[in-house]
Amino acid sequence: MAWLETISRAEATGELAEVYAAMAARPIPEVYVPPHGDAPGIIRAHSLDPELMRHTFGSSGTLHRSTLEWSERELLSSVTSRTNECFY
Amino acid sequence: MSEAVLDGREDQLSGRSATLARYASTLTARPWALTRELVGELAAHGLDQAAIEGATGVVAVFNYLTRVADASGIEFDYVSPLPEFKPALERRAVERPDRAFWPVIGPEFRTFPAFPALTEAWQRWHKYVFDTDAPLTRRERSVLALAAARECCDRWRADALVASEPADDKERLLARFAVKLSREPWRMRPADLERLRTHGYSEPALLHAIAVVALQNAESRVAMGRGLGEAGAAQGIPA
Repeated sequence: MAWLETISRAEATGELAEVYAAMAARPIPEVYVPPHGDAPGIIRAHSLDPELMRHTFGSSGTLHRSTLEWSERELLSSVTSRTNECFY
Repeated sequence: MSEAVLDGREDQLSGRSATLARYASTLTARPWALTRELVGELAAHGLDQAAIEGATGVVAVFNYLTRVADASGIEFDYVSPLPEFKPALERRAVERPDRAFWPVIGPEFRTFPAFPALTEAWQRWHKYVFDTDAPLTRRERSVLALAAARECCDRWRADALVASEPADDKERLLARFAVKLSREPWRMRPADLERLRTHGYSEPALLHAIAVVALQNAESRVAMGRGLGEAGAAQGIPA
């Protein structure tokens, strides 16, 4: 249970439901699909503000167009997370 | 490779991977100490300007996402074949250098010239997080951003926000929240949000407080990555 209130995909209505649906339609590696069937926690953490969710993941999503290999982007994100002592 | 990263054994990586790993760890833990030489090593391994900007973008975005994860208390929800990561939650952050040594990096180094789409999307993100009036006021956002910029030793941004010095107990509480989330995000606890709740901040306001601090940390790292890495820009502080 997160410390901050969140809204699950099943409970979402209106604009939030639309943003969730748009994000779910984006292709992502299988390893990033959580087994619980809801949106990943890092996305749900933004669920109190669908516009913030859209801006955040709209920006980060453009990085997939980088010329770096997928494995290199994973290396950079993993080192960043470990340096910040974070599981994410 | 992933296990080496999880265990902090990046020194076992080689060549381009090792240099990318060093770039990410430096820009995350000591962004002010980034050097043109390190960025030059990336170029020597075949990364062009677009690739280096892409690397800076990934590190910056993950400095945002990890802070959102740590402050909101979300749980790990992926199935990973890797060993469980055990964070060193008692670790202390490195000391910040004296303000006189903070690099001054202007707005021209806070964009991604090789990625117009990213620059445009990021500018919309910036405007929404820093320049809206609800559920936090602009003043509250500036107080949070100033404290976060100082923790990143981002002098240009801190100077731009100097009028947002905390003026009362509620603003000092926001500043303390920003300092902790910037400096040692791994030490965030439920009580950090609870303290803000008891001072009247709503759940959406808490989300925005987290987002302001996290995005300032990301943007300061974009500035350091680009400004300290490119010829003609400021010099970093040797480690």
